[in-house]
Amino acid sequence: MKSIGLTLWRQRVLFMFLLPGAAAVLVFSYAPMAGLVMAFQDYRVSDGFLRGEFVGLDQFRAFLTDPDFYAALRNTLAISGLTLLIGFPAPVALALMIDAVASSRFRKVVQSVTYLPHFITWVFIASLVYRLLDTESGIVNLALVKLGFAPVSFMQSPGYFWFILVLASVWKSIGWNSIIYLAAISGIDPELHNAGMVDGASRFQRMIYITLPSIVPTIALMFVLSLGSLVSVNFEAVFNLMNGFVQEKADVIDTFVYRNGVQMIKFSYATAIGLAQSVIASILVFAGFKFSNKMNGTKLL
Amino acid sequence: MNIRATGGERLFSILNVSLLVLLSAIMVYPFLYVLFYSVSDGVAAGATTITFAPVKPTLDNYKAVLGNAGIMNAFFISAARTVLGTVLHVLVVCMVAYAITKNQLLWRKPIIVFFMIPMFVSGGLLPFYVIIVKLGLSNHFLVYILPMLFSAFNMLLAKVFFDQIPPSLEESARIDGAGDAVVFFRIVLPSSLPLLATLSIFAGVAQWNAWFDALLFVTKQDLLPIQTLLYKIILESQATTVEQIMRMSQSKTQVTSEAIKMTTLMVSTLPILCIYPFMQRYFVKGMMIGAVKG
Repeated sequence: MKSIGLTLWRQRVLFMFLLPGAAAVLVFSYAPMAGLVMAFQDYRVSDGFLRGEFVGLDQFRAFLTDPDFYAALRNTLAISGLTLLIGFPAPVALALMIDAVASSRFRKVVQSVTYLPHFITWVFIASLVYRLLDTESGIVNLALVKLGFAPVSFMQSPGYFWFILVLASVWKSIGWNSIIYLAAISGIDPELHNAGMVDGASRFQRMIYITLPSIVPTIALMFVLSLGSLVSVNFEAVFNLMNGFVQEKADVIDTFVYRNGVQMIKFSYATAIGLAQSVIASILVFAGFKFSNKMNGTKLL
Repeated sequence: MNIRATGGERLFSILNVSLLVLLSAIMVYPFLYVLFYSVSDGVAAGATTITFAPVKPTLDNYKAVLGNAGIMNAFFISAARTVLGTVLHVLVVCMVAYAITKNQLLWRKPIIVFFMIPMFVSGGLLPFYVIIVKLGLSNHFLVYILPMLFSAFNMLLAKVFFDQIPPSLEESARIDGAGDAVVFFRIVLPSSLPLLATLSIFAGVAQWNAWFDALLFVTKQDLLPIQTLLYKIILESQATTVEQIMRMSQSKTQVTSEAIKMTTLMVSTLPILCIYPFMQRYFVKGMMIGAVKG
């Protein structure tokens, strides 16, 4: 057996290659994980991580009795539920529709156009949403007035916020999320389609009876992975779209954590909420895998 | 083969294509709207509703925005963090990926697990915030670079690519006495140009679009990237920059704050829109690799 020292010396270049990446992961990923002990402390900025006073589960008790937390929880569940309802099937439908197009050039154009919003920041999207929905000069209200309705102050009325947020999210992500389904579709054996055509199945019938069933495993996998996001909402989206008028319907757990932690410097309190949130997310994904494995009889991962 | 163009078949195709055309229009329209607004006379645009064309076309908004030192500085900061951040990210990710493709690497399995765990577990916002502050990275340019140095997802992408490089390529160089470093920099990297392009796009877009890190950690105005400045101008309604631009503009037509916002939006997104047609080929390929592996 060669000594470890000798092997290390032989592989010194490889280990030097690992060094910068490992250092970055250690400092910016693992150290924050260790920082989760803050959730069980009463941590102040002047303290070190391990020197804060331990208070056990007090922080958890504190947020569980905070009515604002429950408002944020309700909004989070409502928004993510809506997102799952609308945002999950949308890219599947888009992928099926793109696949059903005969002209490959038109297919490419639609793909290019629908992927584009993925590369745009929420700062851009939110300012656009404000502009287009503006009460006086927004195009949506112009259309409403032309059609004989009264203008609506969308961004000042809490009642619309969930839908505006979810629709904007779908606009941004529908194309990008369809890529994985298009990849799955491209892996379908063409013989299946040929057989379908011989049997006289129409394009629509082939889409429903051949293409869709073939990508069910991919859909199931994506669904299970998205279960974790039930307890968290895209922070950047809410953060940019939110304003004082709609806060009662817009404040989600992630913005609640940000406000309490970063702005009100209640580090331990906010960390406890974040920890509870990620534990629940992991449980949901894990349970989803267990469930779907049982349902399908096959292992997803 | 029996292809029948029945009425139902044609109806489905027409419906399908029309829906896709409508969807594409919804995707493109917002960008056109911002473009129209940014090349319109500010006062005229405010008085009417811009729909499908600019009103009283003018380039004054652009002259005002591009002539503003604050915005140009933010633009420069964004460019600097994008170039430096992308080059370092791609280098660091590829070095790690190359090392873990070597089967003989000591403690290979645990090392891979070490790099993968952060994909699934994270300390969350607050501990991260405290670490950055404690490290003294607040108000420092490196806060844009160091936390984004590594990504496990991109590492997997690179590993899959390196695995596909024929071993004979490396072997011949090794027979000539080349070590790991020479093989990596002279053989592996130059034969991985599609990978480097894909990673650069992912990292470059992430860097250019990043705004939240500066909002959290940077208070010095002249260190803000363009996206964060945009956030402050538009959503925090930070009046000073807009007023400054309006005062500085010596044009005859009136430049309104709304027109300034729309023009700044356009300017901040233009680099992405310009390279987008060229990058598409690469990111789709990258996503496919990720999909197959992931």
